[in-house]
Amino acid sequence: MSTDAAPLEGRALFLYCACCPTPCRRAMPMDDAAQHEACTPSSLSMIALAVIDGQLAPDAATRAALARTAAARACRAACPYGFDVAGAVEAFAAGLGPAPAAADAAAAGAGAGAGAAAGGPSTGGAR
Amino acid sequence: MPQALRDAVRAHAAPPWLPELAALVGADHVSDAAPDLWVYARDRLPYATFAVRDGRVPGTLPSAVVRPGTEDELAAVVRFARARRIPLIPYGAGSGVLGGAVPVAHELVVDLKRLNRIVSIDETDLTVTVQAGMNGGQFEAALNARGFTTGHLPQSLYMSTVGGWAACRGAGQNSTRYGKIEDMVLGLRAILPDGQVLQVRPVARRAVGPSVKDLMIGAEGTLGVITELTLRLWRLPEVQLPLVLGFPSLQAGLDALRTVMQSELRPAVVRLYDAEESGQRTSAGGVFDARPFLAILEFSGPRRVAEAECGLALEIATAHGGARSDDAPYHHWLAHRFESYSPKWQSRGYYMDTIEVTAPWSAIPALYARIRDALAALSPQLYFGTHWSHVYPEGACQYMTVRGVPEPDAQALALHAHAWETVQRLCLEAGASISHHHGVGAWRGGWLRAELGSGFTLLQALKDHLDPDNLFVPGKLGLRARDGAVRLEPEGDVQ
Repeated sequence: MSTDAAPLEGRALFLYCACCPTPCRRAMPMDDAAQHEACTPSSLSMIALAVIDGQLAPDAATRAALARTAAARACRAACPYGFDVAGAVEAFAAGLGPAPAAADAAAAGAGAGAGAAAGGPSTGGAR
Repeated sequence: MPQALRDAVRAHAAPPWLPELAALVGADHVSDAAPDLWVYARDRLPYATFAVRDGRVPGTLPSAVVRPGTEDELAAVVRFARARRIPLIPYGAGSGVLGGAVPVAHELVVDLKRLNRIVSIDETDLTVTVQAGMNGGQFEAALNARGFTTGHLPQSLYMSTVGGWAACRGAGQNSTRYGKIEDMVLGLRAILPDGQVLQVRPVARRAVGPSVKDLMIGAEGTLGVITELTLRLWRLPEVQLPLVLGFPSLQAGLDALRTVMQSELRPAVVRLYDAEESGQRTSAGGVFDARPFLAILEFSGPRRVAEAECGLALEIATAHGGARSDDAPYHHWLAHRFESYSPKWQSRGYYMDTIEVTAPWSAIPALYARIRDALAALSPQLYFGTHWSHVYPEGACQYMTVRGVPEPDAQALALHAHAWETVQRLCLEAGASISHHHGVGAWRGGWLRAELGSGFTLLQALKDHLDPDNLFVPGKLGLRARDGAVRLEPEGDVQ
């Protein structure tokens, strides 16, 4: 297979990986913590891409999600295209700098609420 | 137009029942944090990829994500959801390509990946019992280490779960010998919409009325959540023998494969490519100069049997004008069989999709030509390539790749929808089935009534009885949607 994928970095890498259905996930650990879709390289890329594009705030919840790279590190050897997505996500997260302090303390925890992370809840429900 | 992620996040309200849900499974296994909702808002439906790459939510964000670790926890979650009237979607690895796992009404996503263990292997009966959330690649590797295989090897092997295979009634690349997943499942356990456990004990065959097991296999979670499967096992084959062939015409290749199957041979792999796809897999200067249509076959099992079958197949191919090539195309296919071709296109703004149908041999040549010509008439820039795999004595799966070029979304999505409508309509007109193994999900729902006729009424009645509040994967499989649900599939009369 010709991937035409190398060398990619930054947004182009995250976009490529977000579009990939993650054949590398077979290399992820089988423990409980790794059985979370947000821990796959493709999902981490999807989150990073959304931050770059201004769709997702780089708040505490997002930073916590981008920090969950342990399982994705195990995928590196199984990436058909030879990418180190976990490393790229870690570098990206480091480049975000310190988190804005106030609004995000509650957002970092599980179940803290995306509404809070985005600036306060409003109406939900089906459209 | 799908909603921008930032707007969807802003509109999200934390569900008031979240702490109660956390009490059932543990706080670490429940979330409604924005990044988590975002990654569970899609599966591998290409339309969803088109939205995601543009920062848009394909349907809706889920209300929350829950990850039960045991069947009991899952049953508790289901009972809780029923009591609170919370719609839900079971989620494996999200590898489906029809949008079955995409939330469209703020469903609660129930990730099953913590249910990821092999329960037991019976080396006398040659069966394996496995939890539904286990990764396919990890499952097959564990079996191989013990000298076994299920023979279920889909392209999505590494990116899917065992439960997902059964939920969508999938097929592996070796289905010609080992069957589709419905031929391999001997028994199962599932949680019904009222929280009860359904158990189908694993036995080879039974005659006790219509198959209850098959109510779950292919139901895509609409009738229950599969938690455990017992599958048939095989010992790893002694040999795997490739047979790579070139044919002078597509018709010659189709006739040869039909004859192979009707001669009671049992190849493990059969793949025939049209001119477009053959050209991408062969090089000039050999067999394919005069015989440009590529076929890849593999025979496996005991050496003497495989060699005999391979020899007979070569005789049949030769009688149809075919000739044997070196094995390079087989080894290339083998090396990349579990990868996806789509990322390089989707990430560049193309609109790529795949459509697989099942047709009788007698209908295939005309069906293929009509679809090819109709799509070319839609747009000369629309790529169309086809191969036939998963072959049977009666017919074959026709697997088509359609790819639109980068252009503004409105035009591209209209062409994409029109291509789907064309293929499914021509398929139904030819007496074929609209899906061989990808399933229905959201995207194919509009065609299910035409596919099933009065059988669709039976399906909806069954759904209404088992799930009177329409909570399990609502609106998928062509079944009734919830009020206010977002529509993913093409608009308009698609029947």
